[in-house]
Amino acid sequence: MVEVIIIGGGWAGCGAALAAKKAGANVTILEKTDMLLGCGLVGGIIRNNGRFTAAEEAIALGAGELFQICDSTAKHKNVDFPGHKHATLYDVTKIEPKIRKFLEDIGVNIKFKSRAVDVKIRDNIIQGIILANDDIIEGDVFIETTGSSGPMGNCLKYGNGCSMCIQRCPAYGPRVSISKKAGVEDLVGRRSVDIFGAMSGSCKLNKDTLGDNIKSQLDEKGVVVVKLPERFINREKLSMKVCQQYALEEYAQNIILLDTGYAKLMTPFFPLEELRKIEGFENARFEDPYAAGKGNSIRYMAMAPRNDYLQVLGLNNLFCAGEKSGPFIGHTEAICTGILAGNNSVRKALNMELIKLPRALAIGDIISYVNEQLKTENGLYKRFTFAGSIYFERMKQLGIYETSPEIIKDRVAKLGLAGIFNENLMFKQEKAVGMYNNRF
Amino acid sequence: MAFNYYCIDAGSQYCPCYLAKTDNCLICSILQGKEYCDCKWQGICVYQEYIWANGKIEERKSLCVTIAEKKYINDRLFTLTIEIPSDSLIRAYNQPGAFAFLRPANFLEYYDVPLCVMDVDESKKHLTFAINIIGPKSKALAISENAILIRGPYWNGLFGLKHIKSSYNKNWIVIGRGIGQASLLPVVKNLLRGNNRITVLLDPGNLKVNLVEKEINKLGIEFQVFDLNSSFHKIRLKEIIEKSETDFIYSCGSDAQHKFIQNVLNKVGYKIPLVISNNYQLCCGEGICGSCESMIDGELIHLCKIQLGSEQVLGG
Repeated sequence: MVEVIIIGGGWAGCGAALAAKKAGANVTILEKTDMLLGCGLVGGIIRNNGRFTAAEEAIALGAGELFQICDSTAKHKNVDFPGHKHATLYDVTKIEPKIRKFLEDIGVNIKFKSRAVDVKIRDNIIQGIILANDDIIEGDVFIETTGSSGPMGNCLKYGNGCSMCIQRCPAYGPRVSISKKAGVEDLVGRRSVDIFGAMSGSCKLNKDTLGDNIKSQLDEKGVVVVKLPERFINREKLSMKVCQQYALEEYAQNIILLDTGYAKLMTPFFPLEELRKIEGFENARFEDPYAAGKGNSIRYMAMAPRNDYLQVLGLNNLFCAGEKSGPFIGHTEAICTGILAGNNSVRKALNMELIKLPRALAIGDIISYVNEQLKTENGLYKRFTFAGSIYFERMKQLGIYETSPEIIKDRVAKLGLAGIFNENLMFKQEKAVGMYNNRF
Repeated sequence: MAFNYYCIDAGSQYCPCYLAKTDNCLICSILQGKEYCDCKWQGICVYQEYIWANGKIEERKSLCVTIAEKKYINDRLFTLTIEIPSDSLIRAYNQPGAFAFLRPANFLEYYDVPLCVMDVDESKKHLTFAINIIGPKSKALAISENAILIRGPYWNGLFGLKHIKSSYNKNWIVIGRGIGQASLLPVVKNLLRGNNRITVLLDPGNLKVNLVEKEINKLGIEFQVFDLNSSFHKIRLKEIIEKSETDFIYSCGSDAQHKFIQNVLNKVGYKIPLVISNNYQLCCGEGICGSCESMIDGELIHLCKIQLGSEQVLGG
């Protein structure tokens, strides 16, 4: 039996677990906190712009269950907000137990409060993951989905300090870059020549503390746009943002709220005393314990160099996904990279040929495109998402952007990849070498 | 770079210390001048504490205190009881592994002697130390009568502190020899609070006297007299360990004694964590002077502040 160990239980880790389990492996997730989904616990936006295409591709490829669970808890569907169309807003207060139950039901072993701090390694082959309590978790293949945000020292040095975000470093300990412990230097995103990382782009208000008018509008439509008085406009925050798809003029001029269970405020932070001067926000407070009046988490501090199979370069049996695998933004991107890493990890363990997704698909193209961009001069200054900014423009130009599930399904089927992540590799004999990759 | 150890002062009122200011923090990568955050997490962020402290550092200062009692056990050995004028300070000394630097008033800093706290009486605010008169520093202490300078508290007097602090309802063997017995009582008292069962083995060693005999009796613990130099006792120790289903051992005495016990433990069928007294030459206690520097796992480490496991200190 193949033992796949996934480090980090965020969306990428969950995607990887799903795909590795489907491929027939024994799967263990090591998660430092007491909940799955990581930043997904404050996410909530899927299917906006090009993310629709990617989600439907994942479903057609045979590993779309996580998207389907999100859809099933969605509070609002087909929502448009500035710069974004046909978004689905899932309820972040309800999604975690559902995903947890789903993964446990398919037999994924989840170890909570298990913080990975080091590796046991020999000849570039990782043998086990060392936890903070000195336990060693051994496996055949490892997938790192620890993300790239924090820990506190980085948020202090490159941001406004710890804002007690969903990472909960002070309570559960800091994220550790496993690839770096295994000897591979991290890639670090930049905002300027000497400032590293980028700040998370949204924060959370408690919905009950907002004015009745705003609250009812949120419940009804899922989105509220409030014009900011000129003196409150702070365009500097746009360039700090991770989320380039929301770094638009509208987001500086307006308060944009989305109903994701909380009232998701689409700005990295907002000083509370200023916010309360705005009509409808007189009694507003951030969701505890979030210090979103002050700052937000700093991200892209520890990405691993990898190839298009999502295998970390320089190591034999480590894969990566989500933010660990490049400056991706968002949960759709995390899940999509996760499922590829999960499937390839099992192939690696079985000595099968690894899969590279074709560039005719959005998922395949973004994985390859990000890798190319990272090698360019300004690569580490860029961020990539299906939902906006440079990559969505590219999707439209290349004609990859598509909003019809049937057409996407057809596209995947024509490439011969329909349901490919649904196959149990343990029972499959692959005789023809190059049966996937030689075609593209 | 993995730092496989803890700093005893991290998270205390003495953190951040001067080492943070000079980019020499023992555990924080950023306060070592590196670009990114990577530490062996101890529950607090030293860098955050450093930023909030705004450059201020709380240093341990020498405090002039009165001598409450000086009692000679023989002509080479005496106990010194002093009165500490602060409730919070006396509590800070009441920890397993606590030590302080003592010197006579009007003497210069290089007369500082590191001494482990032998006993604490919180109600009377009394601290007791045991001093073996050997060299110039201990002789200077012996002639001081009314007042004395004390600098502390320091806490890294033993390695394996986590086992003591987390132990509840376990079987312990505590072995003390000679002047090493001076660090035994705070450990035993701490273990009693955790409802642990303790077997005490006392070896008078070269002192020819069991320093803590009376106090151990007062605590209602039975002890056995032992001679670690005889091969007969090597076998007896193994028997005692196996018979009492020992979970942990604390050894206070010389490095040779620690090694001896480690060897016995290696022959026992199951793994028993060993806690040992810190015998390094301590001089400043602050990780600055370098007198306690030692090569552990290929790294130079200041053992006055770094908390390690006994296996790292003694080697396998």
